[in-house]
Amino acid sequence: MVILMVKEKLAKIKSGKLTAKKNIENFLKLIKENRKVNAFIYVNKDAVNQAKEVDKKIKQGKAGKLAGLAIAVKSNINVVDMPITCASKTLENYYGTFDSDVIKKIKQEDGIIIGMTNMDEFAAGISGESSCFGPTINPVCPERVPGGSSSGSAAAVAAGMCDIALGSDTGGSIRNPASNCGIVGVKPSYGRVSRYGLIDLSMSFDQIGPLCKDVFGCALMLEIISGNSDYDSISYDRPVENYSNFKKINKIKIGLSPDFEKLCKDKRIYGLVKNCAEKLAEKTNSKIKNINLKYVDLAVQTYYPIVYVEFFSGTRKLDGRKYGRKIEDSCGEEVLRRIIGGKEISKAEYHGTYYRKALRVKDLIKKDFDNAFKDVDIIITPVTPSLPSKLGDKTNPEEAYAFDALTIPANLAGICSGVVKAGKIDNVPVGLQIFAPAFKEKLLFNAMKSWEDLNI
Amino acid sequence: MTNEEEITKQAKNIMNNFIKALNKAEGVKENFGSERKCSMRAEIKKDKDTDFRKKMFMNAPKKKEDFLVMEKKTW
Repeated sequence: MVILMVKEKLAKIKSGKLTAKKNIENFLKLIKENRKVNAFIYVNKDAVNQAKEVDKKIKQGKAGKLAGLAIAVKSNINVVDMPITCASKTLENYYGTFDSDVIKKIKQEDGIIIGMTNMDEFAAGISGESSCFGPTINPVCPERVPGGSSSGSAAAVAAGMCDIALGSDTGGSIRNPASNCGIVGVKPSYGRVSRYGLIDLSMSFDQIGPLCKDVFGCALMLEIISGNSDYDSISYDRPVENYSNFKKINKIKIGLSPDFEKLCKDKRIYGLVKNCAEKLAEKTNSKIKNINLKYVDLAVQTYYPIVYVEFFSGTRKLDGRKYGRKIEDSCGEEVLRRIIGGKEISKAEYHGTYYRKALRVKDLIKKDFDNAFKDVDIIITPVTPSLPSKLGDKTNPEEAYAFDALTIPANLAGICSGVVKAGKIDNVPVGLQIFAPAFKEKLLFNAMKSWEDLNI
Repeated sequence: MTNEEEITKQAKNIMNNFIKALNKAEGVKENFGSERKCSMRAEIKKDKDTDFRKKMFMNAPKKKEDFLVMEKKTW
């Protein structure tokens, strides 16, 4: 079966050459055939009926921007009547009682929720292996991990089991699996998308974002789900631009940082991404400039104390009285480590020693980026410091945390960031990551699209 | 050592290693505990209000002998 890109598919659906029903049926068939990828925890049984309703709207000329597209959703985003398990035994039997803000917007635009995707338990992981429903398999490179925590969303897109997927990104959970599975993923600026209905990992960093095979799909989804909400106090009241109306970048300044190069263990990855940046600069009449990010090597050490404390705080509602089981009695090792660690360092005797110290360094890293963006328009880095590990390989937690070293800085600085394909090393997909200043998503998408057009 | 004890020890070690690393950043080495002491409110020692029970009893809308009767479902 030929896999159509989102723009072509929308045109076909709009012109009546493809019905929403047929589109959904095709995906349901593919989901069934690709069961071993384990990308979905739940498939919407009512999807075909919903598609029929969308087809009626299309005929009446009343359909929305996502009419007939199949949207996969990470299992930590509330969708009414679907299991919101966070891939954990703790919430195994919890069904969404309301639609998240992002889901409401998707439904308003006639997107069809095709199912809930697999993920690392409570989004606390980077490999896609820590789900209580079993690991997700990387469809483009089955012997390697797909990356996490939005592993199922990335795998579903890569295997052609949906048009667009939603993930959440706290320290790289959209970008890391997008890179490992060779697709496009975007972490919006902090406050760009309402998180109402997202089961939080760390309130200071969480953002919901899109994953798709192409930049257009991500841009279209982000312009739909972005915007202020009364239900999320950190969502900013700023106008949402038309991200999917691209303009080629020209004569911009592209930043490369030796500080990121130092963090990159596999020098082949940095070399590949640097070549991509140089090619992009050459073809767009842009200039490369070296920038210093003094504290970026402390990103991992800054991020985890904050995440431990906030995760511990956020999971106190999961005490077994209202939602399923008590988390400490039913979760996996990494989740337990974060809860216990967060509990320990939240104790009064450690006041200021951990959390506030980490918040101070977070500010220094943010200032680093503010200064860098005075000199350059965008910054290009790899997504991961080494190739994804082999499925089932054991790593100690500190080594595993270091895998996020190149994605975490964007979360600490609150800026937007996107991943596009750079190429392959040892036949494993490698992503190229672009950072743009906070709320400059339009520039980010223009840069990503310019690279995509060059790289096809 | 149980699994939980092991995980606790591991989590503490990770946090300690991370915080040690953060000390190299400018202006974060000082102990914030001392900052907190400066902003702490001094406890004022006050004599017990011996009339407190009497006042409560006097203001209660319903009472029986020397007990206050709780109002149920009226609010």
